[in-house]
This record gives sequence, C-alpha cells and structure tokens, in this order.
Amino acid sequence: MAVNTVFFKNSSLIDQLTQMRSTFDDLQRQLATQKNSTTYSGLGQYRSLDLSLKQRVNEVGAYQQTVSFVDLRLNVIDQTVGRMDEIRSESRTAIDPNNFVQQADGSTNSQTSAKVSMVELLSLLNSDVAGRHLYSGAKVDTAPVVDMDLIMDGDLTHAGLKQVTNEYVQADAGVLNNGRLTNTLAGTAVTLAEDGTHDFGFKVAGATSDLSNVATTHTAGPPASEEIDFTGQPEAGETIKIYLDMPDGTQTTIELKASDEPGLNNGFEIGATPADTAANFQTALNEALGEKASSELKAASSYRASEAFFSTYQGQAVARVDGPPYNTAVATRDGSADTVAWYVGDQTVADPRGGSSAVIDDNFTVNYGARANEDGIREVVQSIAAFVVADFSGESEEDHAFYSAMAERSRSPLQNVEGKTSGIQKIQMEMATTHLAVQRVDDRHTTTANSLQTSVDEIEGIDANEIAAQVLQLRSMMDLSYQTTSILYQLSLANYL
Amino acid sequence: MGLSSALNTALYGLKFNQSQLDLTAANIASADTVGYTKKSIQASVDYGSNGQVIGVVSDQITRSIDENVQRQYRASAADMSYLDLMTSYSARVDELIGSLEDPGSLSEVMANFVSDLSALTTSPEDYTVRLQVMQSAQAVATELNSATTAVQQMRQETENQIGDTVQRVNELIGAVSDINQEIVTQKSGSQSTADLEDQRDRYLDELSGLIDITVRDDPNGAVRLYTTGGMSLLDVYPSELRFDGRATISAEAQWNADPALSKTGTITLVTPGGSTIDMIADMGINSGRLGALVDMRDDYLVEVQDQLDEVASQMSLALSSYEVEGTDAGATAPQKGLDLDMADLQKGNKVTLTYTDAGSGEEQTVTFIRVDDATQLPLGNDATADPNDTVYGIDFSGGYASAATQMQTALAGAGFTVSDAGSVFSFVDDGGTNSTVTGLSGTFTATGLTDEGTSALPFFTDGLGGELYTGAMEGRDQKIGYAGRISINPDLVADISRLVVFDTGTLTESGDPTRALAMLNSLTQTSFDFDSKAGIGSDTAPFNGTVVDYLSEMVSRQSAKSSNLESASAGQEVVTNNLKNRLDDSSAVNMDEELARLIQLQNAYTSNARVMTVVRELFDVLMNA
Repeated sequence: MAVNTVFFKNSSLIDQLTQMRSTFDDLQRQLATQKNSTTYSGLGQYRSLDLSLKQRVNEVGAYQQTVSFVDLRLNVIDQTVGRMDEIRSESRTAIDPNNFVQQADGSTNSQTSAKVSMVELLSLLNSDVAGRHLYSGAKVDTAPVVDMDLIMDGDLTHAGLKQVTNEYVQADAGVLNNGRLTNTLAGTAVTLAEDGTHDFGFKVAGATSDLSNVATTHTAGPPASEEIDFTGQPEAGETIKIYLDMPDGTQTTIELKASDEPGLNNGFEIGATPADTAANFQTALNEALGEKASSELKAASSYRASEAFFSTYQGQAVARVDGPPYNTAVATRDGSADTVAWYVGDQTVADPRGGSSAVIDDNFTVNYGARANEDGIREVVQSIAAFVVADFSGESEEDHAFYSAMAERSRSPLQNVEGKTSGIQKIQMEMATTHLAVQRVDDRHTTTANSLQTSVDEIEGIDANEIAAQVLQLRSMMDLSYQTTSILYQLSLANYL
Repeated sequence: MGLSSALNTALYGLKFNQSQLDLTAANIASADTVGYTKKSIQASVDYGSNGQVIGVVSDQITRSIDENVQRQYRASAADMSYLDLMTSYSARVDELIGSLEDPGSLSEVMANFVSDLSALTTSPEDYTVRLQVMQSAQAVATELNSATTAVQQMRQETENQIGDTVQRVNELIGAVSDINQEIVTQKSGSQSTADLEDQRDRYLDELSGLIDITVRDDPNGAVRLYTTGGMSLLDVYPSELRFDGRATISAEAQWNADPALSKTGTITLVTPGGSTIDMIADMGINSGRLGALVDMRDDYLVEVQDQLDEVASQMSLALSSYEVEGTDAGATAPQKGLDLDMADLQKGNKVTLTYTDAGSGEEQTVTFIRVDDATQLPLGNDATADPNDTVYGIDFSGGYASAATQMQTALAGAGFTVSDAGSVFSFVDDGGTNSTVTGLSGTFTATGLTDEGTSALPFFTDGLGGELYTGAMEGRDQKIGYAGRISINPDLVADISRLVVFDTGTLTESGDPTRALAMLNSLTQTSFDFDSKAGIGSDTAPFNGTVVDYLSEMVSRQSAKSSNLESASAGQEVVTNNLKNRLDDSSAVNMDEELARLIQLQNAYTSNARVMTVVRELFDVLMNA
C-alpha cells in the first residue's frame, strides 16, 4: 500500500520558495494585464463599489447610446423642418397674385414652381434615418405620405384631391352657378335667398344700403335671405352692399351702384318705375353673383376642399360632398373609404411629440415625435396643393380673378404674420429645445462616464511603478533565498570527514 | 574481578557500539525518508555483586517525537485540507461568475441585455435591434444554463470525490488497524515497535487530512480513532464508512436526511457490531477533505445555484408579470369591499389583500398563492420574500367556489366575507368592527405574447418546450434549478415583432416603445424583495432591489466568500506549516549530530577493541610466564 507523501522534509523552505515564485508570477501577470486581479475576489473591500460603479457605467453607456440615436434623428428633423420652412417662404414669393403667366400646358408659372415645392415637401416628409421614418408618429416603418400623383389624381377606387375639389366646386356653385342662391323678383321687391339649409355656396350675411327709398330686410334663417324692396326710386350714385359669407370662412361683398345709365359694370339702371328698377337690380345682382361664384367662391371652395382632403389629423375622416349630383348636394359624407389618404402614418396619440420618446437619463424622457399631418406642416402642404390643383386654363376674366383669389388664399397660411412664427417654425423651435436638452444630458453623461471609469480603473488597475519596484525587490529576495538554500544544502559534516 | 570479566565487559561494549552504529547508519540512511523519526537507543549498565561494572545492555529503541505538537498538527492539517478544498472550489465559482474582463460573464451579458433593451426603446422598429435583443437575451439564458451546468458539474465532482475519499478513509483505518495488531504482538514480545509506529503515523497523518479525527493511545500500544464528534472509527475492530454515491447530480438533486427523499449520496458509518449512523445528518464530519466535499456539495454550491435560480426566476417574473388592481365591489356602507377577477391567476401567482386591523390600527397584508395540489398545503409565510405578510396557499383544483371557501376560512378572524361569482372574487370587510379593507391586487403571469396587462411578456420560459414560468410549487418548487432550464419563449423566437407589439386589438405601431420601456424598467427600475433562502438578505429584511442590483450583489458576495476563504486558507497554512516545522524539528535526523556520533562511536569501538587486545596480551604473558 502506497503512502502518500504527507510531509516533505524541510518543506517550509520549499513552500516559501514556491510562494515567492507564485507572487512573482502574479506580479508579472499584473504588469502584463494592467489589472490587479482577474476576479472580483481580488479587489478586496472595493469589490462592491467596483460592481456598482460598473453597473452605473453600463447604465450611463446605455443612455449615451440612446442619446446618440436621438441626436442623429433630431439633427435630421432639424434639417428637414428647416428646409420645409424655406419652401414655405419660397412658395409665398412664387405664388404672386399678380403674376398670371400661363404656359403651354395651361398651368401658370407659379403653379409649376408650387408643384416642385410640393414634390420636395412630400419627399422631405418621407425622409428616414436608417429606415426609421421621422414624420410618421409611432408608425416609424411606414413612409408617412403617399406620392404626389396619387394625392392629386387618386386611383381606381380612391378619389384624389382634384376629384374632391371638383365636387366641392360644383356643390358650392350650384345649378345656376351663382353660389346656391335664388334671386326672385316680386313687384318691387328682390329677394336673395339661400336655396336650402346646407353648408354649400354663399351664405347671405346681410346688406347695407344708402339707397333712398329702399328697405332691406334680413331673415337669419337658415336658410337666410335678404329682401331688398324698392319702395321708391333711389338716386343715381347711391350704392348697396350685399355681404356674402364663403365656405372657407372669408366674406365677399357685392357692391351695386344705382345709375342713370344702362350697362354700368357693377351698377343698375334706375328704371321708369320702382318695379323696373328692381328688375334691373335683379339682373345686375345675378351677373355679379355669377362673377363672384366663378372667382372668389371657386377659390374659397377649392380651399375648403383642400382643407377637407388634408385634415385627417388623428383619424379625422375626409368630408366629401354627398352626391352625385353634386351641384344640389346638401350634406357631406365620410369619404375615408373612397378617398386617397395622403397621410398613412400613426394616428393614435393626440400629441404628435408623443410618437417617439426616449429615456435619456434616470426619470428624464424626451418626446421628439413628428407627424406629417400635424397643423404646422399640413397647412403648408394643403395651401400649396390647393394652388397646384386649381385649373386656370380658361384664360377668361373669371380665371384671372380666380387666380388672384386662389393665390391670396394660398399665400396667407404661408405668410409669416408680423411678430408671429409659422407653424413649421414652431415645430422647429420645439425640436431645437429638445435637442439642446438632449445635448446637455449627453455632456453630463460623458463627464459622469469618464469619472466613473476613472474610479473603476483606479480600483481594478495597477500602479506600474509600484509593481515594478515590487518585482525588483522580490527578485533580489529570491536571488538571496536561492543562494542561501543552496549553501545550506551544501553544508554537511560529511564533506569534512 | 579478573581478566575474563574485563574481556566480557569490553565485549558487551562492542556489541552496544554495534547497535549504536546500526542505528546511526539507519538514521543517516533514512534522514530524508518521509515520516521517519529520529531513533535513539539507551543502554543499561550491569553491575557485579560488589558494584563493579560487568557489562552494558542495549535497551528499547525510542522514537524522538513531540506528541503534543503531533496532535495539534493533525487537527490543524484537517482544517487546512478543508480550507484548501473549499478555496479551490470557491475560486472556480469566482472565476465562473466574478470574472472582471470576461465578456461572457453573467454580469456582462446581463449588462448587454439591458443595453440592447435600451436601444430597443429608441428604435423599436429596427429589425436589427430587435434581433440583437433576442441574441443578448439568449446569451443571458445560455450563461445561466452554463453556469448551472458548471455548478452542478462541480457538485458531481464532489459526489465522486466523496466516494473516493470514503474508500481511502476505509483503507487507512484498515491499515491502522492492521498495524495496531502488529504492534500489540511485537510489544508483548518486547520487540521494538518504533518503525511500525512511524508507519502508523504516516497513515494517521494522511487520515487526519481526510477527516477530522482524534487519536487515543492504548497502554498496549494500539491506538483508537474517533471523529472529533466522538463517533468511533476504530476500536479493537475498524468501523466502515459507506457512501451511496449517485451517478448524476443535478440542481434538483439535493441531500435530505430522509433516505427516501435524498437525491444525493450520504455517508453511513457501519460499526463492527452492525449498527449504522448517518454521518451527514448527525454532523459526524466537520472538517478535513471529506467535510469540505460535503459542505461544498450541500451548502456552498447549493447556495450558488439558489442565487442563480433567484436571478433567473425574478428576471422572468419581472418581465412576465402584470398587476391587476381590485375594483369596488359595491358593498353597503359602512362595509367596504373589493372585487378581483382571478380567471388569469396561474399556479404560483399571488393575490395580495391589505386591510387595517381595527384592534391594533395596523396595516395587515395577506397573500394568497394559487396551488393546484393540496399536498403542498399549508404554505409557510416564507413562501413569499415579503417579511410582513401572512401567506395562505389556496388549492384551486376544486374550482372557484372551493377556493373562495378556503379564503373565507383564512380571513374569518378578520371578519371578511369572501364570495365568488364565477372567477370574480369579492372580499367584503365587516365595516370596521375588525377590519377595513384597504387594497386588493393580483399579480398574474402573462401566458401569451400579447393582450395581457399593458406590456407583460413571458420572455423566458421553463425549458425549450415553452412551459410557463410562474414559480409554481407543484410537485417540486419550479424555481429550483430554473437557471439551468431557462430559455427564450419559443413563440417569441418565432415572432420577434412581439418584442414591440403588445396589443393586437388596435395593433401596436412598430415604433411604439411602450413594451420595450416596460421591459427595461422592470429590470433596472422596479425593485423586488428577493428570497432570503438563497443566502442574500435575511427573513426579516430581505434584499430589496432590481434584478440587476441582485446580480451585482450576488457576484460581490460570491467573490467576497472566495476571497475570505482564500485568506483563511492562507492563515491556516501558516499555522499548519509552523506546527509541521516544530514536529519535524522534534523528529528530524540531524546529519551533523549523527556524523559526530559516528566519530564518538568509532573512538569507543577502538577503545573497546584496545581493551580486548590488552587483555589478550595479558593472557599471553600469563600463559607464557
């Protein structure tokens, strides 16, 4: 039976030598790895501190990663929103009410440049960062807006903006192309009345008159009407103003002047009798209504159609004219099933900023979502689109007036009202504020991470000088020990006998 | 007095010189032999009738050894080999979970998982980021699995080594027993037993490293062996240790005093009379290598495994649990009541009821845990980590009505009326006479990937089969060994869009960070009470923190234990080495001394021989005269 070597003679000497050797190896490892231990157990009392510091380093690292993502996205948002605002002001300059120059295809110069602006605007809205669309709210994997042709022309089953506008224009103009009004003459009284209770066409708001012997009576309705009763003859040069509300919320005025002569533009001849005068007045009024209907009302109608088409915020349905026939329509209907949805991004949360959020520090969440159909952006798209879709090809006098009215309307939302910022600029400012907050947090994270890492390095790292000194010291000790041991073993009486 | 007597005395002297020379030669020859003790020989002088010296007779050969130091050394050696083994294993555990720079270490993979979840909150739609989350989650699961395998591998090693060690202990006891008999025989024939004693000491030294023993000397020269606990290992006849080692040790296999329940081997002492003692149950082994192996297998490594399981369990539950608050039951004032629908309550899930006790004015917490196996009942209050609650296990296998009755019984003292309408349970107090209900909530485990809670996701499941992890107690505690089985929900692997999509009714947008944020927060922000049975925290003050905190605490604790063992071991080594030196000094052969003695003996021999020559010359003179 073999007996294990339970103890060696002089083993303590051997132990000490091996001990020194292993200390030496450990010091070498420390120099090579620059770490004073391979495991946490070697860190002594700083072990817990080291672990919690590293845990914090990881947390801060995760925040920094988040910040780098957010920073990139906010940069792109800043650039795209900035460009959108430039497009806004460029378009305002381009859409000049007085610059009616038609091209061969029937559209005007300003329409062509508006079209270019629109295409650029849509492509900016579809911009993405690494596959993430920035203007789709939370639906980041979907390009938020469809392409220009689809918006304008629609497809087989969905109506585009042209179709929707056309329907509104018909509904507002009415069968008589006078803004859905009736104009009747009974004796000496002319009654201008709305043809029913609905939202289309002109709305009779009232009349002011300095015509002698004329009584105006307003019936609020609905439907509202205005009776102008020529109880006697007015004097030449006296005027009457009829105020008409238009579908886009603006108001237009028809001013007719009593005249001794026939054929006066915007005037009526004082006839032989009050009844004749009333008949002349009715004719002049009809003519004026027709003009207004083909210009200002048409522009207002187009504008309203555009508003209805583009206002889809938070799932709001597109209001289409209930028809055909459209020129006698009395109501709108939910057109979401058969109308092109120009915005196909996320619609869920009320606040568009809530569409994207990021936690960039403990208890610090930034919201930086944006949506193509939020107000500031939508207004610009809608104004430009309404202008692009309008048809001025008739080149008639009405078309000129229509052009001017349309240009006025398209320009106003693009305008930077004195002392106020545009909707797009507001978005840009909100994003810039967020961006600044993110960058400040990032700076703080960098400082924190550095100081944490320094502490970790102090705990885990080594002082190379100290280790080198230790190695030297240990080496000389080992040298001595080896020599002494060797001398010790050589010393024996046996050598001297 | 005459010439012949002088010759005789010289002859005796020569004989004694020869014995001394023999011994010196033996001492010199065996100087470096392990376990050899220095021998010396004494001589008695024979005197004649009138006081003259008539010869010297060599006596017993004696060993030079300090028996007190030897006893101390053996006790110390047992402790040293105990600490040596503990240190070598704890260093492996430390390497396993406490490596500083290992990118695959548990804390590193967990940090990666958290960091990828954080990236998911910023880019929920990004397929690559989703994939990354899945991969880092897989790494966490794999690391927990492999850590479990490593820990259980170590337990398996200890199990095998216990077997080997027990066998060696038996051999050594047998050998000591044999030598005992030899010594007794030799001694009775007045022969020297010094070499036999040397041999026996070698066996005893080895034995004391394996198991903590006390050695008692018998007057007849034999020794008796006892464990330090007082159990007899060798009396006249040796006892035998038996070990029924198991071929496979898993996390679920744990030692139990009841042999029917024990899934690891136990050490049994069989006395020569045939009675048996369970050495582990009766704490028969406290130190030595064997003691260390048993402690490693049954305590140290089990605690490591418990902590791994706790991490796996809390991580799974943190991600998969969602809380449902009770709603007003519409009780008639002054009574108040709360309703809770328990249709989704899984086994192992909890319902917590709080009320103000009218007598003491203090808030009381009652926790009901669903069990589907009545044999598990009743549950102790330690079934939850919360130190302040009263726990009742409720058997749901008999349907809701039966469960309501059990809850009613539990709450009868507090004056509650518990009723059920289908799965909706009502808890109505007695209007402040005994109690006023203050809260009711259920913690449910989501079973599917979507539409449960706002964002609860059973990210991890128990085994690849996708069994839901709820911490259920049926059959066995589901938590035990869970770290070894934890895997990613196979349904989630099949459809990773569910990392983001939590609602299919109104389909969650791909960029919605809600679920990612909830997952991140449940790991890094939400604090839980951790089960103190795993060795961190205490019953009354359980460790409260996030899953990530607990992991750090665990690493720190294991590293601290390893480091403490290492320094204890180093200290013990110094003590043992010192004792060994003293023992060696007392028994070692000093070569110079032996050589000097050789000169002495040479002189003595020459002198004796000279005496003989002179006597012969004298005889010659006498004869030739």
